[in-house]
Amino acid sequence: MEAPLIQVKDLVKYFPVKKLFITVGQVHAVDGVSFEIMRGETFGLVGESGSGKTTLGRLMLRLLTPTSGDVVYNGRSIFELEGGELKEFRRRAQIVFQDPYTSLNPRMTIYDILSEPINVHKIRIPDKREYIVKLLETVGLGEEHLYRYPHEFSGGQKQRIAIARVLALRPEFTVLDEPTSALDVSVQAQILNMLKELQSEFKFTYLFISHDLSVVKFMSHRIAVMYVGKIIEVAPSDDLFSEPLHPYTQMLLSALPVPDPKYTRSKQIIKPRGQVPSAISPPPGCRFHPRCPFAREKCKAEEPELREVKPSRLVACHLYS
Amino acid sequence: MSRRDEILRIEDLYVHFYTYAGVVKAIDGVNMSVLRGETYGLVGETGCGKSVTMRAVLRLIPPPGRIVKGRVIFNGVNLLELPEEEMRKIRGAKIAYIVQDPTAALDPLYTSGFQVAETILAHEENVGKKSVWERVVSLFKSVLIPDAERRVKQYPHEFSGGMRQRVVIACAISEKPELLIADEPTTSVDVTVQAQILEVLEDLKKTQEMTMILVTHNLGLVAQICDRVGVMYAGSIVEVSDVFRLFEEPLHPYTRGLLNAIPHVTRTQFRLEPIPGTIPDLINPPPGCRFHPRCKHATGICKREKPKLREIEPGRFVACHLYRGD
Amino acid sequence: MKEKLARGLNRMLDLMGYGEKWREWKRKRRAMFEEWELMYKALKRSPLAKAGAAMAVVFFILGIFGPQILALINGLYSLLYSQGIIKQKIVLDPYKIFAGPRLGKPSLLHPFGCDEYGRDLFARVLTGARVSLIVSVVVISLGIPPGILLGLVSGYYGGKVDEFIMRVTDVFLAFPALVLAMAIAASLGAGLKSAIIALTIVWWPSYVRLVRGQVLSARENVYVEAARAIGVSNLRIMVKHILPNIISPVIVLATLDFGTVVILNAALSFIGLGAQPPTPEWGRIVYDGLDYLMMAPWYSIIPGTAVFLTALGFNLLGDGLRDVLDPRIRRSIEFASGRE
Ligand SMILES: Nc1ncnc2c1ncn2[C@@H]1O[C@H](COP(=O)(O)OP(=O)(O)O)[C@@H](O)[C@H]1O
Ligand SMILES: Nc1ncnc2c1ncn2[C@@H]1O[C@H](COP(=O)(O)OP(=O)(O)O)[C@@H](O)[C@H]1O
Ligand SMILES: [Mg+2]
Ligand SMILES: [Mg+2]
Repeated sequence: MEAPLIQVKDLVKYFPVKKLFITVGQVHAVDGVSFEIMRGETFGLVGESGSGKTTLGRLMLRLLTPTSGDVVYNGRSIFELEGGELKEFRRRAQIVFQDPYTSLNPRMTIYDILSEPINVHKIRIPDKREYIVKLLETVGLGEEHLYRYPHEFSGGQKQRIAIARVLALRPEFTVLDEPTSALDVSVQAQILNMLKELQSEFKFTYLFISHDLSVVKFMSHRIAVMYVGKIIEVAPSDDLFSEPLHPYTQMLLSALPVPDPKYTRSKQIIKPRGQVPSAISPPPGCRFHPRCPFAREKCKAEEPELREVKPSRLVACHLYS
Repeated sequence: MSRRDEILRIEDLYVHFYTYAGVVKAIDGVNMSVLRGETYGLVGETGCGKSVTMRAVLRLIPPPGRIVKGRVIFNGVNLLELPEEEMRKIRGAKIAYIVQDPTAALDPLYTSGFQVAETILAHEENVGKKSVWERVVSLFKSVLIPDAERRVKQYPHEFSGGMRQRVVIACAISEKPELLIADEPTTSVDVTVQAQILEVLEDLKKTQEMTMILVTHNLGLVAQICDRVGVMYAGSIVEVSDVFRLFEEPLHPYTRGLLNAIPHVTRTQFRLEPIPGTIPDLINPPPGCRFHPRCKHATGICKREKPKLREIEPGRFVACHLYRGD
Repeated sequence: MKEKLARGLNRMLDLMGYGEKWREWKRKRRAMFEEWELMYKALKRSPLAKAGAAMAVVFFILGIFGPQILALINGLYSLLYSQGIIKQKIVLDPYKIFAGPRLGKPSLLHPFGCDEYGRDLFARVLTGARVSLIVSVVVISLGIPPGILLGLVSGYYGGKVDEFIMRVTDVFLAFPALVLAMAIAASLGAGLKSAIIALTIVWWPSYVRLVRGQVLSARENVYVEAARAIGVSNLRIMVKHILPNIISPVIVLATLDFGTVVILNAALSFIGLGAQPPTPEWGRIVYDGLDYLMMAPWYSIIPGTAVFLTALGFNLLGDGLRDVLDPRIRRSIEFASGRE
């Protein structure tokens, strides 16, 4: 089997919580996460807001330094890279942010925005202008947009520009952090299709982050479910939906309204109970146990590990031990 | 349209915003009828005019917007002709409005219980302090806030987003309104919280015999809890139907487009079918049917004439030239 | 006509081989021109800002072309004299004593009257504009670069650097500007030069504080992180991504400060620490006129009014610019003034 492109090894990121300059606690944003992403794969990451998805994505691009743990990219730890190697990593690994309204500098024209990565990495191309126009055409825009400012574009167009900026460097790996959650469904469809087409054309590897289960299912080959800083289940996309193993995944799926009145009104519902616990002092044992309908004594005391319980199905739950 | 016990009827409503860039023709002839006791879903993409229509019902259009024309008939009375004094009695008491952002709706300086009490006191005189407080606690219980006695004394920042939204709902139902307008009540919360809030709303609807208008862009939500649905596009309602037939056999090309554009967890899809183009500029909207530039069935008449919302099957209305009976 | 000219120009540039370059340049700048046009339109809608802009322009014109304007008037006078229309030969000169009657009232020939030496006050006030202009231009253009530089570094890097820079500026900001300027000017010895030095030293810390605050919020923008993810260097992020987005408030503050510097400079001169006689300086003229306030009130009032109007003008303009340069406020102005 092929070696994975990225290995995340027991990654931990705590943010200090300060009150009047004194640290009073720590947000356990990412708390011991391990997984691997294969080359050419779309790895989906779902979870409710605050579960640590963005933090994990930023760690994997070294936009944050971890509290502990490691990210190995192509066999090298990204936190050890320096100078030219770091720059090369910055070229190969890219990110598209959630909010297209703020991810483009309002004082730069599209031409400037798209030429920045080319200038920074001194990419040699015969005609820069032509290259940029081609990039724009790849994402469905055109030459007439070259000298416009971001505010002249709609949200969907801005997100296309942000994607073009990433494409300029021909990266291998891209973190897509909720790239369509600020967009309307008809525009979302355009962007999602485009991302899929780009992937098959350029053999990209994606980490696709979203809180929207149906979007993640559409995009991903494999999906990891996150809950309060931990990954609690990893499964191939279809399997996760046909047979969710972790009680939290089951709860998420049953809470999801499906645009099909007959189905959604007849499906079995596990009523969501309680609230997401604070990431500052997560519950001991399994983090989900206070809300879990199947919780046992063991769940309160002992933290379950993410283990393979069936071929290619990983789950962190004592029910399966 | 059927007149079967209508609680709210909007006729030929036009709302314009007079901006420096030009006149934004935001609402362009909305016709809508809500029956007593039902849950009516108003769906459409951002900017299509859902909130403006609902605000027009309460006469809360912010400047530079103005209601140009139309009638809003609530229980047989045209709200647009009422004196402001009367209107104030209707707002909050007869018709309640829940906005999308629960944080903005609550004052951080007062306890959440106090804010609910305040809405009660604003509409009722001669109520004892103690009885109001008891009512606040029972309201908190009715929106399923656990530990209500303690929670009423807490400030909004001590609540999570979902809990805040429940407090906002408690405010809204404090006067037992006949009509509850929930404008994207769950857009800023997660699915599990959304499920809990929907449970609260459905529960209230049953116990209090309310009529509800659920404004949303989420087709899944509509499928889950609405009885009838109005689909809005660029300032008009393009299709009205009961929820089952709408999802089974959408009539308007826009509705069909929307349903094909979303990913479905119950299906295996390799490609979505996006609606080509973008929503039109409402300062210079396309003539005729506002959807025609994006519609693959558009013909000459679509560019010239705006289709009227017509009943083509019992209970199914569509505004599209494809369905002209003659 | 305009079109013909444009076509002709295009043809000429084409022949010279610059046609495509020129058109490309115009396309590149189109959005910028449009933005400027919008700002101009927004500025035009506010009568107060317009009035402020007019006053500021007048101040600049008088400051730059004062002597030329005087020469023009003198030419007119000598023409009138040679034609015999006026009887007296008159030269308006800020320094010439006994050019008119001592403490003479304002008249056709001496529009602002004369001082106790018979010097023409119109000429003195007009020339005084230049002194004020020089002081404010020098003080502000010397204060802004270190202000921006230190503010950027302080806000962007944070930590110890920030701590150090901010404590130093706090020391300066702890004293009221005038008191500090007085102390510095007094220790340097009276004179225009020391007034300028004193005001400059007093001035830059306020820009550091302003810029730092702006940088702190600007660096949280997603596009800054996006630039970092691409591999853009810190220097380039500061210059290309942060600075252009925080420059508007600096421009506004600089505009407001023009008025303040004029006042403070006048105040320094008034207490004898600024420009020395016979240099015509507004504050100094006000001071000199105080002795004759009962006999010749115009002596003090007119230069005082000049100071006041200049400060007022820049304040109105600054307030107007604040709205014009902020795209959000600009938009709301547009909405608010929409026709019914
Ligand atoms: N820079 C930061 N400083 C402090 N806390 C942070 C920071 N970034 C994220 N957090 C906290 O970490 C947790 C996870 O956040 P995030 O990764 O953004 O979640 P998600 O993307 O899943 O919504 C949240 O509780 C959030 O408040
Ligand atoms: N204050 C305003 N000024 C100008 N136009 C406005 C204003 N508020 C709303 N509009 C216009 O009205 C349209 C409908 O807005 P809204 O009802 O808020 O949409 P939504 O369906 O997302 O609730 C928008 O496209 C917008 O152009
Ligand atoms: Mg996030
Ligand atoms: Mg809305």
